[in-house]
Amino acid sequence: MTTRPKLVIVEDEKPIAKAEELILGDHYDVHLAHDGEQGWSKIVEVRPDVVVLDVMMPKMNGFELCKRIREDDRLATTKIVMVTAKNQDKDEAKGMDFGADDYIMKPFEPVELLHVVRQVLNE
Amino acid sequence: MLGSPILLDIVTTFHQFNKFLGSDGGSLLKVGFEFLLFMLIAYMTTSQYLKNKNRQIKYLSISFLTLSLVKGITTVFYVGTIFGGLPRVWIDVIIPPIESTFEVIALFLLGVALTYQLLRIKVKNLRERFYAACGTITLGSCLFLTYWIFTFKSRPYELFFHSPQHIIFETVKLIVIGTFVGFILNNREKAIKVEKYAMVIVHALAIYAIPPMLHIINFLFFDGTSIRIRVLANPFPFLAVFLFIRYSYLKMADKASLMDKLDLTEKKYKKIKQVNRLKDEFVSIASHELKTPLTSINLYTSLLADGTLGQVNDKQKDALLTLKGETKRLTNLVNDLLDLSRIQNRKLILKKEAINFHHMVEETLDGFRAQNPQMTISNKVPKELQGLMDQERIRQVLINLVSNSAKFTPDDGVIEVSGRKTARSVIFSVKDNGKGIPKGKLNYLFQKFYQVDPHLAREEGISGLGLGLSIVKGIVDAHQGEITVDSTIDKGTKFTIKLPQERKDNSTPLRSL
Repeated sequence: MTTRPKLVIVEDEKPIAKAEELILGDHYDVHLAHDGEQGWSKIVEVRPDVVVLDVMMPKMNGFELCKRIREDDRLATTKIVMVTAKNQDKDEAKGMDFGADDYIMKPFEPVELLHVVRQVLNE
Repeated sequence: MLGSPILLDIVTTFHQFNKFLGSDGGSLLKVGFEFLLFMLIAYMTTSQYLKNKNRQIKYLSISFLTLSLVKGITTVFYVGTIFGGLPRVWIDVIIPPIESTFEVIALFLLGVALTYQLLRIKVKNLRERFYAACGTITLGSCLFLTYWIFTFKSRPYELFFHSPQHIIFETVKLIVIGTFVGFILNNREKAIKVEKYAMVIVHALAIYAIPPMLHIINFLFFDGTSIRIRVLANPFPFLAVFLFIRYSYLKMADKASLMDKLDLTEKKYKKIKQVNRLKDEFVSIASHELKTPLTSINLYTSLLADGTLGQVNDKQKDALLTLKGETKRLTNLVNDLLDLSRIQNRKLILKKEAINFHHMVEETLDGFRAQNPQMTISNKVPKELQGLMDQERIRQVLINLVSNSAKFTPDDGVIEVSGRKTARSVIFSVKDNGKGIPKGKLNYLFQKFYQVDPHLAREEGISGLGLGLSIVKGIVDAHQGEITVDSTIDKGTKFTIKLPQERKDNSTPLRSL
C-alpha cells in the first residue's frame, strides 16, 4: 500500500484552511496549522512533501517561514506553494526569491489548488 | 535765516571736524575705523568660506583680510607717531605707498570675486584678457612700489601725499575700480541674475572710487594744495565700507531665510512621506481584508457546486453557479479599485519582458470567443510580432478594451485586434462596429468612474464602476505609451495604443511627493 504524500497547510484564516483541507484531503494526508510558529513546529514534526503557505500570517509571515524551511537540511525535499493576495506584484518574485516552488493567487478555484500541488509534486 | 547763529555754529563745527579729519588725529580715526570695519567683513566672509569652500567667497575673504591687515599696520604706525614719537617719515613717506599698493591688490581681488561668476559665463579668452589686464596693472603697481622704496633714500624728504607717485597710485586704483564697475554695469542683467546684490557692490565700489578721483582733481587743478578737496574725500571710504557691510549682512540674512524655508520644506516632505506610507499600508491591508472573505466564499461555493460536500440537484447547482458568478464580479471590482489606487499613487510596478504579442492576443480573445459565440472576434496581429511590455498588465488592457467592445457591440458584431511594429514602438488597436461614443464624451472617457451612458448601461445589465478605461490609461501611461480613441455613432469605436520599445528604467515606481 502506497502512503499518500504528506501535506501541511499553514493558514490563519480558519474557513480557508478548512476549505483547503476539504479540497486536498482526498488525495493527501493533510495537517493544519494556524500561524507561522505553529506551522513551523508542525512541519518539523511531520516532515511533509508539500507545504501550502499563506503569506500574511501572525507570529511569522509566509516568507520568513519559507526561508526557514529552505535553510533546514532536513526539509530539503519539501516543496513549497505560497498563497498570495496579489496586493503587490512583487509578492511573486519575493516568494520565488525565498525559495518557494510555486504560488497561487487569491481568490482561487479548488481545481487550481489541486493542480498546483500536483504539479509541484510531479516535478 | 542763513545768518542765524545756530546754523553758523553747525557749519563751523562741520568745518572744524573736517579740518580735524585732515589732521593726524583725524587720519588715525579714519584708518582705525576702516581697520575695524574691514576686520568685521573679513571675519564674516572668512567664516562663510570655511563653511562652504566657495572660490568666489575665497577671493572676497582674502581681499578683505588684506585690507584689514594693511589698515591695521597703518593704524599701528599712526598710533606710534602720534603717541610714541615715531619719526614722521613712516606715516608720511614709507607706509602710504605700501598701503596704496595693497589696497590696489585687495581691490583687484575684490573685483575678481565679484565678477568671477559673470566671467565664467562669458567667452573664455575675454576672461583671460580681462584677468591679464588687471593682473598687469596690479603687478605694475607692485614693481613701482619696489622701485619707490629703493629710490626714496636718495630723494629729498617729501610728503607722499604731495608727490606725483601718490597720484599714480590713485589713478591705478581708479582704473581698477572703474573697470570692475564698468564691467558689472555692462552686464547688469547677468550680474543681478548671478548675484542678487550686485548693485549694492557697484554702489560701494563707486563710492570707494570718489577719493581717488578727488585726489587726482586736486593734483591736476590745484597742484595738490587744496586742503578742502583733500578733506572732502574723507567720509567716502566710511560710506563704502558701510555698504560692504550691508552687502555681507544681506547675504547672511538671505542664507538664514533660505535655511528656514529648507527646514519647512523638509518638514512638509516628511509629512507627505508619512501619508504615502499610510496609503500604501491601506492598499495592502484592504487587499488582504477584502480578498480573504471573497476567497472563502468562492471556495465553499465551488465545493458545494462540485458535489464535494454532498449531492446537489440541478436547481441548487444553478443557484450556486450564480453565486460564483457574483463573487467573481465582486472580486473583479475589488481588483479594479486596488489597481486604480496603485496607479494613482504611481505604485504600479511593471515587469517588462519580450513576449509574442500575437500569442497573447490569441489567448485573451479565446476567452471572449467562448462567451460570445456569435461574434466575430479576430486576431489580425502578425504571427511573429514581438514586443517589450508587462504581459499581465497589457493583457488586462486588452481584456478591458475587448470586454467594453463586447458590451456595446451587437451579438453578431465584429471585434478586431490588430498590431504592427515601427522602429521604436509597438502599436496595436481594438476595433469594433458597435454603438460608438459621442464625440463630446471622448474627452472624459478615461476619467475614473466615467460611464458614457450610465442609465443605458444599467438597463442592459452592463455593470461596473467605470474604472476599466482609467486603469487602461494608467497602465499605458506607466509604459510611457499613448492611447487614442476614434469613434462614430452607430459605426464603431477604435482604441489605438502605442508602446515605446526602448528599455527605459521604468521598473521602479515613480514616487510622488
